[in-house]
Amino acid sequence: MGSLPRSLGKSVDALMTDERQIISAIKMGDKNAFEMLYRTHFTGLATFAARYTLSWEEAEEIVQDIFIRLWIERSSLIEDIRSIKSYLYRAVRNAALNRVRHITTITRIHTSSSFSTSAAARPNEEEPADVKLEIEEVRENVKHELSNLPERQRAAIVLRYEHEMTYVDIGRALDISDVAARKLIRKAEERLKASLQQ
Amino acid sequence: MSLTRLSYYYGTSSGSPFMTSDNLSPPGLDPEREFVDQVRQVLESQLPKGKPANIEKSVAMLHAKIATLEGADRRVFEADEGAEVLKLGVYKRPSATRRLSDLWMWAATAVTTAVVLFGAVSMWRSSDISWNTDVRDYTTAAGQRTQIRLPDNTLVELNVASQLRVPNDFGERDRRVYLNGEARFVVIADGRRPFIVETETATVEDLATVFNVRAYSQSGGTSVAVTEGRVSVAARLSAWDDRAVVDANEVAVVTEDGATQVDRMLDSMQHIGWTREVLQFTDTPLNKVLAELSRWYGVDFKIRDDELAHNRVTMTVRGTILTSRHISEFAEAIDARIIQEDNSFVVVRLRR
Repeated sequence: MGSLPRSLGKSVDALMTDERQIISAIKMGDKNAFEMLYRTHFTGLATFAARYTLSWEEAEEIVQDIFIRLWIERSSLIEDIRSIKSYLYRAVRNAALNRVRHITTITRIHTSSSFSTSAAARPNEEEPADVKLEIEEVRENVKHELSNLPERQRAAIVLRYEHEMTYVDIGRALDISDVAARKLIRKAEERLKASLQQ
Repeated sequence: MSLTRLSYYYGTSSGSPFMTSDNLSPPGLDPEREFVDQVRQVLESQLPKGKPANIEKSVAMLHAKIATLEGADRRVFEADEGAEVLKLGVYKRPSATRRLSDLWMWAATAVTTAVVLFGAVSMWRSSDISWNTDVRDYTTAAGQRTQIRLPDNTLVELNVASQLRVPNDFGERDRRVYLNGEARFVVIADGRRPFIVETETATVEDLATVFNVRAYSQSGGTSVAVTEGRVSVAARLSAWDDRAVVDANEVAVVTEDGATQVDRMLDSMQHIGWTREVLQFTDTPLNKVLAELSRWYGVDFKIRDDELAHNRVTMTVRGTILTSRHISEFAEAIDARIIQEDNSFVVVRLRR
């Protein structure tokens, strides 16, 4: 750790005590600390959950359920939860997976009208297909490849690219080691990059 | 999110296949950065339409939910009285298991909540229930749903036309409730006191988990879908030793004659969709769909055409409020006409 710049080392320390303080405050029943934690993470967690649910309302519900549970069971919180952030993302992923095992099913349900026959399920038609530039095609490839990634690889990519998490935190969130997390992401990146080549 | 920071992460992975494909990116752009950009754009495009909720609103909602929970049993109950939940008083266990089916049939023809409440109360009074304080009942009519927080903090979401009975000694030795209809349970862990749901056909026991029990007395049998943890299910007709263990993402079905079968849950929305206001039918006979919809909306759907009644329907319903637009969409979806007759909707063939 000697190579770590002094200031960075300090801020990491500060962060750790910060998190520990927040947890012990919540344990003591401090609702402000609890609300602060919610405010800090709500948008990120909801965005992550929405990857699974395909509706914002449902995503928000998942996040709220987790916080409600956290509050109700606050006395059993462990103070050395290494990183609250990865703990929360892990909870969101588990809850989301439990709720929707089959994303394809959900896509079918996700229509604007109240009633829909299964045949009426529409494919994603966000972009007009008229002028398809090469770059556009590349994007389609990435899109296709990204949705075909195994759920764990996809989750890792989302956490890395969208939520800017470290390998260590991604590992914690996905219940794997940081080395495994790094490998997982590398693998996914290779697949995505290969799709760019086609 | 800054791209610079991201390219710091990814720019170091040299030798990637992308590095050689400079032709894909405009001149002067770092290909790694371009890649990161691509992925980010695609990720963004794959989010649902709309926006996440406003944070202030969301915080307020969180506090409101917690306040309701912390008010515990009593407060939820009082708040709901006269509104969503019908409080039908307290009475002894053995009676009235069959009453509910009558209740919802009656309710299905009623037009407003107020009428439902009235009718229900008078019906209970006329029946042979002995009133005492052994149990407490939570009942929903057709078209009504509610949430109940039990004294041990277990959350129960009660679906339409259902009844949950909670003995007053709940939690003393075990945590036992009686269900006719459908409910989802989010059980708080307690190693000493198992949580038990009794239905007409089965006994479901668990320690800490989330599961859905469906046991409408008029449709026969009990279906238990577990989304977290593990429960055990025993048919009433069999010995307790014969119980089946149901893990997360499995469904157990107990038929009326006591046969139990455990299968993988292929589609969780089929079982817990109702808690998200989604009702899903897969290859279901139309008459069954109509019975379900009657309960769901608290409206009476009828069908007299036998052949039409056995048509199979695959369909998804979202939301709990029925409007005339929904009726016409529904008619279109099942390829039939729906006409209104007094207080019910009758499904008939299309005119050729």
